[in-house]
Amino acid sequence: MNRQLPKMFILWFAFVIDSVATFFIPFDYSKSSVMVISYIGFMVFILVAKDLKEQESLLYAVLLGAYYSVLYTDSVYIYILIYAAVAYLANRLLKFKSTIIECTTFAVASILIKEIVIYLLMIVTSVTSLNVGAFILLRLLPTIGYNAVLFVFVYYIYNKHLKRIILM
Amino acid sequence: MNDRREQLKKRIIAAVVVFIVLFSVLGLIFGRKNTAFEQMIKETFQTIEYYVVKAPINFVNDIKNEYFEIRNAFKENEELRAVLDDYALIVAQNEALKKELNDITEIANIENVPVNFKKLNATVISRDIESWNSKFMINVGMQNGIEEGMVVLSNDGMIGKINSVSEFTATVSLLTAENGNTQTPVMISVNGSETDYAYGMLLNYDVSSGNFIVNMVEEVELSVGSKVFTSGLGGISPRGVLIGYVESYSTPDNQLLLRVEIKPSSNFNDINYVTVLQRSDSNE
Repeated sequence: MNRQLPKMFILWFAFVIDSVATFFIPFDYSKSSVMVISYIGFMVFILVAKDLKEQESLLYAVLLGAYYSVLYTDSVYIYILIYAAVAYLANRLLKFKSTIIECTTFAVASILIKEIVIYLLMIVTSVTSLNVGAFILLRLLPTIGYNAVLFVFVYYIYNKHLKRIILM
Repeated sequence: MNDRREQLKKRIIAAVVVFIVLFSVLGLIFGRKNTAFEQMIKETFQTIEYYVVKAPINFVNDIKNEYFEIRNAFKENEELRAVLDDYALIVAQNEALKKELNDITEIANIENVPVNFKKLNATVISRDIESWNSKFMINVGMQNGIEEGMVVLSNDGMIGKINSVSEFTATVSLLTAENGNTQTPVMISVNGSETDYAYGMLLNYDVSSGNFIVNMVEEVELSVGSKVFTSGLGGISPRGVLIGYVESYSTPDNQLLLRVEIKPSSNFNDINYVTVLQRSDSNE
């Protein structure tokens, strides 16, 4: 249990950074201008998941997916499945010593698929009627651009300082 | 034996996946609210996050903003002095109207009128990271007399309603939510009149036009630019809170009465502080 606490704290803190970023980045609730969603927690989770054993990464996926659902998405539990799928694929596709380009590609692809899946869910359930063009221009592209840039810093900080704590 | 176990494992995983997908879809369709346990977890972690991390940053941010506001004070003073003459006239009119209203309510023996309300200021402590459902949490709850359905204001008018309340926090559902959870009875001034109003129901928000959609409940002639207020009908929201201005109107083929598009008076960008209105005739 003691070995799990630092990992849990790192992942929890990454989500807190997301929440703080969300709080201070102006957001247009009328959905008529650019909307940027911060995915620092999700990106740290990808890096952690690739370095853990499959079982352990899936366990973290379920816990974090549930935590994220309750705290930040009004209890839409589909995030548990998304996190589990990402943990499974990160574990299989990314190697322990994957390069920054491989990791960035995986992170960007994961965010892209996550955003599209959630958008389709919101359309199907009539939570939004935002059209595809507006979704891509106002939300998807800015979010991917913002997070791709951030990922470089996340990757650097993770490899330099956090990886050894995760692997303890 | 191993094959059967493997197959059972796959079936269990498939069942869990289907259950979670169905639960999420149905929850979104029917606007499921958090259970007490979910609310407790959410409130605990969000409150810790706010007071440990966000509040100190907010404090520094406010000081910075105040510094810039003070720098602009001279220019603002000049502008305010220019409108001061009008203000004196409006105050005098307001006093006269208040007295008139008091006299009428006394004569008619009415204890409360729907324009009477109390204000409660609140701070936004968190918002959903994904932000699809246009909701955020504020730092007042049942302890402060907050109830579901109360009107929430920003500086420029109504922005939403209280969606759910717990002991110390409340969740605000904005008028820009597209699922129609924030339907509100409204009234529109007829041809700019301050006494003649037509009534309708604000149904939802149209994301493509950026306007609210109102269905009128009476036949009336409107003009573009007329003010739209809450009507106070239904008992929870006070009367006379500005929502927006008439942008356009038409009668759709499948309707007998007007469908009006309302341009919001409030800015839904960067909401940090709000005011909750409580009708003085509602239970505390």
